[in-house]
Amino acid sequence: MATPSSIPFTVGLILAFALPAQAATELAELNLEQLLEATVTSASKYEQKQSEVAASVSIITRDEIKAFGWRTLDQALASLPGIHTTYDRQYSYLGARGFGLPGDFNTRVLLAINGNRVNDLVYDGAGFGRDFPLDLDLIERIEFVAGPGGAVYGQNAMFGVVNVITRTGAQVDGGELSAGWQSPQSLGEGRISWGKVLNNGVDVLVSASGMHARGEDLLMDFSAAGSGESLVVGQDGEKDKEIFTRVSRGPWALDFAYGDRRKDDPTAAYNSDVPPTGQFERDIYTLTQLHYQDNFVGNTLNVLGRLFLGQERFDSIFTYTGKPNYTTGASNWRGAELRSLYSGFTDHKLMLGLEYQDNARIDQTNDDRTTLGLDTEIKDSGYRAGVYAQDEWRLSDAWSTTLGMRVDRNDITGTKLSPRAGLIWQTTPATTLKALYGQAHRAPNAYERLYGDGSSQIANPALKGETIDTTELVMDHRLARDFSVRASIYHWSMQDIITLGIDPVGGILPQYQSGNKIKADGVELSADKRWGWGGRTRGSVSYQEIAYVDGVDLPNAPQWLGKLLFSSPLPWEGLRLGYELQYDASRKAIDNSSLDGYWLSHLTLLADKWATGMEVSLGLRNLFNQHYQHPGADSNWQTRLDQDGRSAWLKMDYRF
Amino acid sequence: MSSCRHHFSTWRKAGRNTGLRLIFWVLGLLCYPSWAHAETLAEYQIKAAFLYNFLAFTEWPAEVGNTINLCVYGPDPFGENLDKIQGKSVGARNLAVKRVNSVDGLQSCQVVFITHPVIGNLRRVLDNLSDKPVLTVADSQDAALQGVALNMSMDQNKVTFEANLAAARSNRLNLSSKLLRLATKVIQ
Repeated sequence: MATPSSIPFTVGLILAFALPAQAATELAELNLEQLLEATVTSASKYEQKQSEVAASVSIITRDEIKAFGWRTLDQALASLPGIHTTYDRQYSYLGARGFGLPGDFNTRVLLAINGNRVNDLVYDGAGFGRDFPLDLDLIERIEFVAGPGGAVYGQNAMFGVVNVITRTGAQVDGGELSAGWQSPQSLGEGRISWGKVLNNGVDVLVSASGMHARGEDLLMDFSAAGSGESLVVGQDGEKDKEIFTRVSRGPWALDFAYGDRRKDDPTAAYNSDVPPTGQFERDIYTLTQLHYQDNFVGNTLNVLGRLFLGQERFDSIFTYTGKPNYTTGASNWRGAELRSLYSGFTDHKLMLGLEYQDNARIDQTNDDRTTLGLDTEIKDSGYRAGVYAQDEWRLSDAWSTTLGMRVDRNDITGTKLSPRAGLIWQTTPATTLKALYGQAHRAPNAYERLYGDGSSQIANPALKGETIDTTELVMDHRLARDFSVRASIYHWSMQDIITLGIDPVGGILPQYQSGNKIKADGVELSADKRWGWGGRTRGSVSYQEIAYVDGVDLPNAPQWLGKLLFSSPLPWEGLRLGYELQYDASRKAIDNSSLDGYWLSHLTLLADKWATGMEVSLGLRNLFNQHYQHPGADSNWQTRLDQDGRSAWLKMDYRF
Repeated sequence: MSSCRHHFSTWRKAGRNTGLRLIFWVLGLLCYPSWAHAETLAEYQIKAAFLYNFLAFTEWPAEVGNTINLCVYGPDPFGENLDKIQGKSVGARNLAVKRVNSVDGLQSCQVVFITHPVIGNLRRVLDNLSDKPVLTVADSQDAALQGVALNMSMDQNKVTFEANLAAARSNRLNLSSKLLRLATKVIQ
């Protein structure tokens, strides 16, 4: 906080700030020249400026989602520094800071909708493709906090926290109809939404979406299964249904999100029969949250309370030696969180929080449907509890520090501490330096620990949790009011990484085990520039070195990543252009062969002035039809999976 | 309310005694809700004062009656800062402050402040108000460029503003030369 002597106070303003409520009339009497000289004491007590946060935070706005035509979360997040995505024609996986082992289920990034966790209990995964239960049209902004968030968020927040903030009824303000088409996937989708602030002050948003894609006929390599290449016809389809409602009034908000997504399998995943027919994986998320947030004690105390209820249902059919094998995963969780943020002590912002989650149901089954009864049924349940505290301490005008700690206890790994420390130095009004340290833990999920069917995997109930330690230096610098740059240097190491190995007893079947330590070092440089005529460019280059401590390289870890995004109004009536360029350096496949690096271009044209209430957007993804591949996992016949070539899409949005 | 005010003055006197502070902290909770939102943020005190000044430098056509309806569209960031100027005079007219949650409710407004959370609906607001004598004001990035007549922004903890004269003129409003001189940028 600035000392009074350092602020050029106008005489009348001293009164105005000391007695805020009564002084508004007097303030209104000040003339424009005086007002232009007035210094604002603080922009907001709880919504912090990026320069004050002990983390490196990125925001993706709704405008950008529209300008670049993103329809899935992985497309949007791939625009951020250090993020690489992988698609195995089943799920989209998010890699961060070099880490993205093939076969992992997005267990090391926490994904939340309005602060409500999406990661389930069986696979600990979160969907970044169409399996994410929220239509991207309903997103107001996406916040990505890079680095470990374990000191506040607990489980899963190893490489980052993605919090998706939804739109409100006030923002939708009426009805919306949307229809889209994409070729050559024959993808059709639609949405209907309605939102309003009712006369009694209740804000309501309801929305339903549906999507269906036939998918392409794909040439798949099954030589590992002894049958060479074959054209897989009509097995790449995808279906998705989503419902979202939000009702809020004053400090209260009730969210409900439901998503049911089914993806067909053209790859014969999990080493199933080739060529595959009628195989699929399906995920249903049902997430409910009652959220309360308000300020007390003259705005010095902010209280957040949440009650949440989550459910995930997974099922799949894979065929082995002609017999369809039916696998399910089901998890139910419920819990509460209470967090208070107190800024009443001079130069301190104190946060205290409690979270409890009852993992009521964690079931896995496996069944050969040609025989009677379930072949495998694994039932589990448990709990997670966490207590956390954090203090943001302003040491002087230029220096502040953040110290935090979360203590987690669960039925699997016992008690773990996740500390966090940050030192922030505001060297000039335009430059901030941050030194950050954080630790996060992840307990093994039920699939990793308990799944064993005697034929595809052996259970490991004694499996330990994993730990990540991250140290980071961040420099934020503002070159001009609308031109900012950021540099980040980081080092992280992960211990006891939970990874698939071979069962030491039988020596044949895979089993999740604690793997070797991993170390990584990297640099991320990014810039964001806006122009007065409405154009904006943001871009980043990142470089990382990652390896197991014994020197072995990790698969699926592109050393260089480049992102460039440009959006601009066009001189023709109401058109807006969005162009995205993405570079991923070569990645290693799991057989140690190298997959070529690639450049991808995506182009979007948006027209919103042609007719009242109408928005039309047209896009080309993979504009230059670049051929590129992503690595397969141990569970795939393929060590490399071809990705989509050029596709064209059209979307129309109508407001009523 | 008054006992709560007393409570907080006593609390300040509790000084560095943590135990005392804790007791007052818990007691303070009981003061809710009368104390919630009582102290609004300085940013919007200043912005409210700007808003009031903007009106004084705007000339409406004669067809506008005796009342200037100042409408805050979207979640209200001003709170009671704006209530203080309710009923004040703007030239020969009186000022009335209204809170509006829907684009459809803006028909009777002479001033519309579009709040940050609903700035995404700016195009609809402008389409709705085209040709009407309405002054549009906002405090979001690029809003003047997108057609808002006066847009405030924060620069080094100070509030500045840009003017879009073309937009004001298309709504048949005259912005005084003094106002334009103090703007950081004027879009013609």
